[in-house]
Amino acid sequence: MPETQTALDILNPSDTFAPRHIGPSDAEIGDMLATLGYKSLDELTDATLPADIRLREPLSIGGPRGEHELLAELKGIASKNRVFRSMIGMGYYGCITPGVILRNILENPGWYTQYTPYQAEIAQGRLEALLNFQTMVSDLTGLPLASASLLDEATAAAGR
Amino acid sequence: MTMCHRIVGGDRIAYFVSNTCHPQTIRVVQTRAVPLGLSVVVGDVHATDFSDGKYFGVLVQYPTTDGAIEKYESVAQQVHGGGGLLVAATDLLALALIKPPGEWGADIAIGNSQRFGVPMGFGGPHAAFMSTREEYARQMPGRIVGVSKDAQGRMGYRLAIQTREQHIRREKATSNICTAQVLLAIMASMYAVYHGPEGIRRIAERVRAFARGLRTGLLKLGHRVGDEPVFDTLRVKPMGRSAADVIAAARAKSINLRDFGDGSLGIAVDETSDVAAACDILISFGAPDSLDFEEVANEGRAAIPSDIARTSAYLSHPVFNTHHSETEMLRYIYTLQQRDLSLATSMISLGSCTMKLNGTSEMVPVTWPEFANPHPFAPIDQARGYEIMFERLENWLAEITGFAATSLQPNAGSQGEYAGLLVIRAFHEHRGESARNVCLIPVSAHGTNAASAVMAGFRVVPVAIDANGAIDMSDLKAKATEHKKDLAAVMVTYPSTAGIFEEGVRDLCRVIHDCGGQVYMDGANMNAQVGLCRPGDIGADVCHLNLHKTFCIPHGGGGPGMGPICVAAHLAPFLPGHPVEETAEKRAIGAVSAAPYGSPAILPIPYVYIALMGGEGLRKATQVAILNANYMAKRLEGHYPLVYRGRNGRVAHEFILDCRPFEKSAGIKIDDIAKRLIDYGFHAPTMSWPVPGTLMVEPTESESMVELDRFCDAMISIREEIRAVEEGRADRADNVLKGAPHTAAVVCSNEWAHKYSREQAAFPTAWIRDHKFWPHVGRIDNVWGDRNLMCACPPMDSYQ
Repeated sequence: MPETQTALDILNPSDTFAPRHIGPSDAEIGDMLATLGYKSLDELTDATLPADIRLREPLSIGGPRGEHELLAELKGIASKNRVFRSMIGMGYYGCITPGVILRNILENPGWYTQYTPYQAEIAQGRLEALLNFQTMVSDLTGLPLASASLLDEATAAAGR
Repeated sequence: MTMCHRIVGGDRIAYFVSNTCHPQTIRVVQTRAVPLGLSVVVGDVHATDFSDGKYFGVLVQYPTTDGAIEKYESVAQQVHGGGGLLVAATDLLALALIKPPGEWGADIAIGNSQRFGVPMGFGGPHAAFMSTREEYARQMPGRIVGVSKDAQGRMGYRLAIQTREQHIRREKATSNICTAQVLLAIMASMYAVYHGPEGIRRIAERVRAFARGLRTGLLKLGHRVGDEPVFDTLRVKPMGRSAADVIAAARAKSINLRDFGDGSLGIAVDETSDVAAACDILISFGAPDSLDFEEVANEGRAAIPSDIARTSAYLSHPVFNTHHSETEMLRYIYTLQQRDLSLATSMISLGSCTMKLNGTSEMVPVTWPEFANPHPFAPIDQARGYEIMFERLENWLAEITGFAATSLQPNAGSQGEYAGLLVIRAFHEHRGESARNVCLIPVSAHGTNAASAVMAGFRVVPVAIDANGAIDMSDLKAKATEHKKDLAAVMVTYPSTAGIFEEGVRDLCRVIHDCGGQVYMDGANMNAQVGLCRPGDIGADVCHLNLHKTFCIPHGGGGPGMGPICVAAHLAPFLPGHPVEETAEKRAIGAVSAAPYGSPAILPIPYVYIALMGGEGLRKATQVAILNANYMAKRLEGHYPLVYRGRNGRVAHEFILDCRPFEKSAGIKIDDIAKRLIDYGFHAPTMSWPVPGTLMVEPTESESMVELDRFCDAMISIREEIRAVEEGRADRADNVLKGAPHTAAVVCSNEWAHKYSREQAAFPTAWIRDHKFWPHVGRIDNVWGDRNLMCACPPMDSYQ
């Protein structure tokens, strides 16, 4: 049995994601558990959660996947969307995202991983961009005060 | 609508919505009105008299959903004469050419900024906008950025008049927004920066030229087309062939038209339209293949009529007139980016906000054209890929929460709360118990809870918490029993907002059910439950999930987000209906979002996350999130008292550090500690919530031990800086905390009058030399900014 398993394991994807998503290495996890006086993550879990609410079976979601093969599979699923030229309107229109904005804002973790700018001193970049948004909306609509921003047109119409 | 109601006040309950608004807008407004006891009248604005003051507000679409550019001056006069407000749902690109709402009497303008460079994404995410007159500032929902000054008198920006928001005002909030599509608003604003007024006008004129060319061509073919003037949308009644035939012919050319369902069709052109597409449209309507569209378009050329043409300038500020080469644009983007601390800089340990990794593989599919470009109301048979993804994701989320069904429609956590409560409301009504309108909410709950309950038409009854931050069970039992006849729901966060796995949560559910209520579980802390316990098993009936916390959608500086809800089987029939099509399920609550699946373009993120991690990986992530929090708590407990602990002295995935004693011992406030952390290269944890004068730390599972230790070292070092003040070794008024954050300009200045060294100010520990993040401004004066409200780009001379 162990031999068979080893043979199969070696063929599993080498780019599984959990060790990338989870910050501490298994060695660090061991060190941190030792600091707290536990031998395993399960022991810490038992100490922390009330016993009467624990889920005892594993989630039925499937095993870990490799990043490369999962993206290939998802690309296959995505390609089942047939993207027609839309002339439907109703508040949604085709547009051209300038490449410089697509790559350097939408696809840039320097712009998408920030938090809400409550700590203003370290948020001056997006605060300026949002002030530009307000100025743009105010100018184009001809009304002096704009907010930044709301969820969608329909909920904006509903009021908050 | 609700903003108008707040401003106009009085006993008016009727809101008028023009029948030429987008149908999804009408649907969402109707859903929103019901629980608030407001009535929505949909009709022809030009055939209605508004001068009698019956309506508190009127909503019109400009241009209309079928493309007409109507004049509303006389409507505005009537509405104002009757003491009401006029709201214009409008289109930013059209406003480059036609008279803006503010110039013909609208009091409020709203709309979607999507077409300013943000992909349709099958419905979202995109940023909506709202603008109004200055006197309504405090009534306006959403965040407002304002200009203020820092400690050195330099100009700086910050969020203005936050006192409107739910985290301060709770059930009295005029704004209930956590995720507000900031990333998408920034994209739209950058689109305006990139194109400038001339570029925007050129795009708008090109769009109009296509629309006019199509109109001319269609008239020549003998079809009936709506009246002039037009901008981008035509409503056409095909003659000599059926609407269905035209739709089929267009679809054979991979073009979707709008079907009004009455034999007429809609054609909306846009920035991506081209001559080939215009020819395909006309051919679908019967034009010969040899058609020369350029000739037709030339025939259709005409200036916009002067009575509707825009004459006022827009986007005149230098920022919209400087960065038009790609080099300049790139540098502008990076200049701003460098002023912001993001996860690309260091950990952001915001309690309750779960700033975990947003993995690259999760983000990559978001901008695939197959996901980015479908229109939300495209025929569903063209969105099979999305359907497959939705179905799998819905099932996974149901499995993770232990529930039977999922709705992906709510666009934010707060909207999920609202939708979940509407579901509960509909359930009670269906059982003939519509008198149930009391919602119990612990005083420690997220501010959105109370604000959402009010929006759902519930009466909020607060429940006390005990000394350990847990719900006071005896108070809960007393309140539930007292309201046995009219109890609708309890809203409970688990683990609690104090970061503790409370004992007795099962009993809580039992008590509520025994009194006829439903249990709403706020999923804000779901990242501490995944794989270890499930809301459905605990006894809850509905919960929302913050996909932007637990399931890796990035915060984007304040949005996008998604707040799907999962419900037990008995609530499944009441899940939100479709915003445009009739929903088969008659018991469904109305639409809560404009698009049927909220913001589908970002759903690949949780999909990829869940699939990659698998059941075991998700469980381990939760366990490490708890481990990281407990490890940090252990390292810090000797320096800062922990406010709450759970069983065995353990915390859940976050913990609260007490900083209240320092105000007395050293004159140090929580703000001073938060700003000092900036000097150490860190974003402050959550401040003063849920307990005033404290910091709530949530490391998440994604931070390594090295980073946790760096943060702990910084906190310990700051504690020693406080101790120096306590012991008189540092000045009470002039110390490193009070002076924080220190900008490069301050530290490098020739003048230095502080009672501490420059090195202490900027480089308090050795490792900062490799990690220094300089704040762009010193401490911002919030009070000054709110007293001198300025919420648009300041003139250039203020940049000194």
